[in-house]
Amino acid sequence: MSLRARPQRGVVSGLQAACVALCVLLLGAGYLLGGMVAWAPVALLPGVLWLAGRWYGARRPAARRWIAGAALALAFGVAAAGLWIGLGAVWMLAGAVAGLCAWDLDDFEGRLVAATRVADRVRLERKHLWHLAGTSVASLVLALGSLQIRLQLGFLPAILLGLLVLAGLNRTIRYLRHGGRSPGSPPGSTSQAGAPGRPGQATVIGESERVPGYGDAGYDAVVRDPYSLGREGN
Amino acid sequence: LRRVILVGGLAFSLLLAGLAGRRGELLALMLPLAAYLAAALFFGPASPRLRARRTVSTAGATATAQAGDTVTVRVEVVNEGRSLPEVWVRDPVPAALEIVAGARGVLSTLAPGERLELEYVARVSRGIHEFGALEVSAAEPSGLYRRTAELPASAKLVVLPRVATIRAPAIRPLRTRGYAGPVPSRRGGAGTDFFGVREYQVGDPRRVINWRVSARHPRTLFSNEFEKERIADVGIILDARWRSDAGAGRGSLFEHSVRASASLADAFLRDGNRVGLLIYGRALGWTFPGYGKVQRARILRALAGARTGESQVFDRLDYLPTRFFPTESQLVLVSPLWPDDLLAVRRLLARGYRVLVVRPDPVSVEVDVLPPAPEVTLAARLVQVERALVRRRLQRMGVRVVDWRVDQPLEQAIQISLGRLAASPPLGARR
Repeated sequence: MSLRARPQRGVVSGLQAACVALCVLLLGAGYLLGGMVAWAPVALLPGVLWLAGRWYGARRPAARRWIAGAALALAFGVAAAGLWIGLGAVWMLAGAVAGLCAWDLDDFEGRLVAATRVADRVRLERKHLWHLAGTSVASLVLALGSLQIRLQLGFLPAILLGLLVLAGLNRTIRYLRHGGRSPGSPPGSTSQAGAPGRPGQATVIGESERVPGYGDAGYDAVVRDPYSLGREGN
Repeated sequence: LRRVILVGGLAFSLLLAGLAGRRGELLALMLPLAAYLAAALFFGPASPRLRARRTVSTAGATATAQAGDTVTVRVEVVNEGRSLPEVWVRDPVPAALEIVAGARGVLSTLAPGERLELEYVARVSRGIHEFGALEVSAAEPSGLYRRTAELPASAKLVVLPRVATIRAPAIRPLRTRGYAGPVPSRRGGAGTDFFGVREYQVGDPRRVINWRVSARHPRTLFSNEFEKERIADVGIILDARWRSDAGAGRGSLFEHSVRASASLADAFLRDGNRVGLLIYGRALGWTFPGYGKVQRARILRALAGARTGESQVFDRLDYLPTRFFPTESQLVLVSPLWPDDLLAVRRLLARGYRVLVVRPDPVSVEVDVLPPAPEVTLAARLVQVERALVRRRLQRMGVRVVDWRVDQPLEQAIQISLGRLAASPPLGARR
């Protein structure tokens, strides 16, 4: 399906299902083509989990998220196992990226469903799909390209690299957790709930319309109580 | 954050496994996850620079709003900063407002300079409702990196109590004011009710000469004198003590008391009287006496904000601040009135006030919300007996009592309770 086509209502749901199917097919194909016929059904597990999440999540939306998370972890686990035993890397990487797309779309659909009203839904969906497509293609190209690079690392450099990555990951999580404020900086240095804006810079401006005629009270509207509790006032 | 941890955790696990097993394929598998996280950071939203404007409007003309009316709340948000791929705006609506149409939250995307409108229709109940800041959450497309902010768009909505148009009950305060009005003033002069006979004075019209009396005194003429009708000072006391309330929500007894106070104030003001209001509950809410439409608006606004409350000081009516009301004026007490309040009423009478008590019936309200049971019926009967006893004691003191079952119109209750007495008020007597 072309992304230039106007996304219709439910297109996200359809694309998510397609991504799940693609994930299962690619992983399964990788296992089958690698001669691991007995283990090929394992590739179905992420799909089954996603289906279960859809069925169960319709009644308990909160459960849908963690089931989708588990399905993503399983898809990457199946892909990692396939790579470990030497199956086709292209199939495994493509299947994992499809799983990542399915997980992203599942969450996006959940956000759309949770919102009581979605304004300009078509543009919102289109923006998301373009972003996801770009990220997925770039990450897949990057992953496939990285397979061509051969680099010999000693034990100590590997450990140091691992520690560096650990520190970086920790830093990233803290950064995201604090809403873009670097750890250690004073509260309110960026937009936070209840403390919008950097110091000295108003990032949000509010105003409300006042109804003239109510003097200092400055009330925005004055109406009568609509509830008629007795029979009086007729 | 859970999503970030999931993606980050998976990426880190793959990295560790790749490094430990010296498997470049696992490191390659980690790259899509890392790219996904990196894209979230790279495309992360800047601090949302938004401007909000809130408009609250009634469905019809303000002065003629009828039962079942609603208010339309419209919030316009303008993006004055960079593009926001995914922005969620939510309006925390005051709890007393019931949304009947529209949505109080919206998810959308906002380009620079673009507007986003949020509109909903809410049914309102009496009170002063304050709208707070909007909750805004901006995220990049994947939703991993989110910035939240509060967008000031405050507004205040005053919902006045519904006023029933009733005739003011007849009152006879000991002292009236100097302007013509409907209240008999106990003084001779121009009026309609016969007041007495006095010697003819030059300038008296011929039609006021009492020929019968004059016939008995051949050398003197006598004229009829009529009772002057003046306006009066009326003080309305609304009992807002917590213990005087019954029922719950909009069907509570206090809501009926508020509406009765509003209707009585409106009726007395329409007759030209000077009316003040005292809300006696958790604290004292005082509206200084005044005349006319402006005073009506003041009283209704005060009643809009009236709430029941509990206070050790004002638990009983003993601390009614009588200096707020001119001496020998008319007081209207809107309260279910408990036996231990009788002493306070007696004090008011001793200070020269004329007291009219409007007693909304808490029993009928309570019985409506309780499950039908013999115990409930018996309890209701006992309380009714107690109320009848209190009424009798009040009437003996000279207090006029209106017992009001809140499911019947207030005016009907006034006519039933005061109609006969109002027809022939004894002059100079304290009732």
